Amino acid sequence: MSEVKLELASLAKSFDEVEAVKGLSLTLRRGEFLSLLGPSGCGKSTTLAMIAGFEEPTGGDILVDGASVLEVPPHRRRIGLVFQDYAVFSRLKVKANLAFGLEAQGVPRRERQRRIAEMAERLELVPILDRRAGGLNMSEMQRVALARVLVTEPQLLLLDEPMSNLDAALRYALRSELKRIQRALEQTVLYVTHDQLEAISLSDRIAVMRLGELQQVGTPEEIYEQPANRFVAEFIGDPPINLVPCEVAVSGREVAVTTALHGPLPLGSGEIAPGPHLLGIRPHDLRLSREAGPNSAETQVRVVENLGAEHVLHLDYGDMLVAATVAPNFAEEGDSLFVSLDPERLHLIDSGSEQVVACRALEGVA
Amino acid sequence: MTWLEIEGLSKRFGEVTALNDVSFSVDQGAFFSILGPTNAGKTTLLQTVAGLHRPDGGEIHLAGRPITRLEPRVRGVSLLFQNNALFPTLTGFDNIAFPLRKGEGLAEATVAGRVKEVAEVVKVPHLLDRPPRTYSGGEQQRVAIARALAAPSDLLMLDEPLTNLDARLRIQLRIEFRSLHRDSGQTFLYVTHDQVEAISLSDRLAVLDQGSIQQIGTPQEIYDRPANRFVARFIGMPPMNLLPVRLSGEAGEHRLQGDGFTLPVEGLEQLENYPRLPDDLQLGVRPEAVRVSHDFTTAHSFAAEIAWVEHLGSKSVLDLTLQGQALHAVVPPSRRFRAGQAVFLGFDAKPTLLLDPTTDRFLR
Repeated sequence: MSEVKLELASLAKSFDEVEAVKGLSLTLRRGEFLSLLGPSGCGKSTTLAMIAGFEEPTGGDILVDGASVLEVPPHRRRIGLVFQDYAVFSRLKVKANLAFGLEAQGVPRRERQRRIAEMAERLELVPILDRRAGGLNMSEMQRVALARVLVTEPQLLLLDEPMSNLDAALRYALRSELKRIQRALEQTVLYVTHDQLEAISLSDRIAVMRLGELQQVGTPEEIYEQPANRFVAEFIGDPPINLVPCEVAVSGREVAVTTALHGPLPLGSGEIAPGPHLLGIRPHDLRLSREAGPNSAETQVRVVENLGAEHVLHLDYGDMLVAATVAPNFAEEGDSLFVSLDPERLHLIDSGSEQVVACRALEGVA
Repeated sequence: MTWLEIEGLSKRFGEVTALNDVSFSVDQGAFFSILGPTNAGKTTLLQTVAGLHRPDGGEIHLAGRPITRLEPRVRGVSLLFQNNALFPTLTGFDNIAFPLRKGEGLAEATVAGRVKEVAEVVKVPHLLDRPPRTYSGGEQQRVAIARALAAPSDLLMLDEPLTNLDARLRIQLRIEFRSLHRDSGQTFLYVTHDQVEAISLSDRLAVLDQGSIQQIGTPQEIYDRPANRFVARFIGMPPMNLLPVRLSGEAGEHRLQGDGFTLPVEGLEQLENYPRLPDDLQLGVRPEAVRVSHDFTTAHSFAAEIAWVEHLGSKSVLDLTLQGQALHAVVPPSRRFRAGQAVFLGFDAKPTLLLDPTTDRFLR
């Protein structure tokens, strides 16, 4: 069932002169985990605040289960919010933290106890119900923060950069736990983050935003493999995508590119004007070899970045450096290598519109 | 040649031991990092070398002279902080020239020459005529780095210089630091809590926790042969798997029996204390060293289940369950692996990755 839970219809918000959110249209399906991803100032937190009812839109509509909620006050919207650092009440016992939202809603005592017991069971909080929240580790803290909100049975859970102040190891552990809980409860989640790795690893779909405008919506795989434009291509991926200047030649609808070291490489048929454009190449899509091969060009390793599990080579490419990820100890600084490009793994970016140009493979060519 | 030598440095603040008998040495021209979590004592260490704290014990030698009791300004060290306040009313040029003009009585032509030189290295020649409020975050940090480089010093110390920058800029400056270090010929002492920075930048690094040095070595040594549990778990993402194993067998035929796997292990004879090794150990296996296959083969023979998959674009991280124990594997990007699937694992045992759980140290 892909029934629509939340719909944003041309949602807009201006603060005086500044347009924070510009005509955002987006749907969230029941049970879906969708991330709003973008740098600071992209409008993602403003969007969240409008859905929660803390900010009033200056245009458009917000529909939950097909009905507008613009006239519904925040506490009636049945939306659960989890903020940065989880912010549980550290002086209260876990049990009291869980009861807090239910008491505020006026849920009768019996019913409160039943729901708390059930949620504590599902999120493995039973052994710590009588402990003060201040002494918990971060995994327990995350579960308390989630349980406290989930126990109120929100139809939509909004999370605003909950992990942004935590160190890498902890984020890793909390991510898989959060995802497991969300799946188990089939909870509809809207997650706001500026961390591409979090968005990629957690989401069913990602909406990338920039300066108040939606750039692309898609599964993590689509966003990574088929970025819509230069911004998305650069924002997703670590190490970042290489953007290499290229010269495009067009014959009929057939497109071929030439870079400082490669080409002309036929990319297939696409819509682009001949002339200078950009070629996006992910660091793990560069093919490297010790020996010359067809269509390979010689290059030198300038810098080796050791990331432990893998190394990043920074290679001469015309008058710039490109990054390539390789297995540890593949090459050293000063080594000569041969680099070639896989036409199927290239992203051609129109230098005028900054859109990625889709090129379809030529007929009869493997 | 040893350039900076730190011997038995200790520092207490009241009840808290910030530095506990810290010793290490840095070669001339090297890039040396101090890596550790918050409150490990990293910043106290830098500030003690800079002369901002007086140590309770220990000696510091720099460029062949004892500096432990010298005033900060005559120690010949330069310090770059996390948030570097540039003088808002001065131009980029005057900000960079500031440490050169301070007291030394250098000719203005010499100052100008030096400022231009470091501005080139840090790629800020276009900012020299403008005041800091017109700079982006990255440009501010570049000018601050130029200022720290401009002053002649025996040691450049950097305290988390990339911490407050956004991810993209951090990656970019990280790469540039390497070239910067090489081109300047300076000795760098770099403090960070970010394992990727320390591993990617350093010639050698020291891992610090709770005021004590845990291990000193090259990035590869520390990654491949961590000294103890803390280092093994602090470096690498996801962290190293540590699987309980029982040691059995005679010389030449040693075996490790774990939950759901049995492995031969060679080279135990080289370990200290052999043959008196503990029976109960933990085997360290990096996630990228775990082989995963849908098919049973000689190289993939331990039956496991995929509990969770994270597809991260350039790679996939698998959360696996092997006889009830959790372990992580990192594999090339692949859609073939999905949660709930039965798979077969393979990994190897190295004698230097056997942890004695009673001491939390790896066997050596």
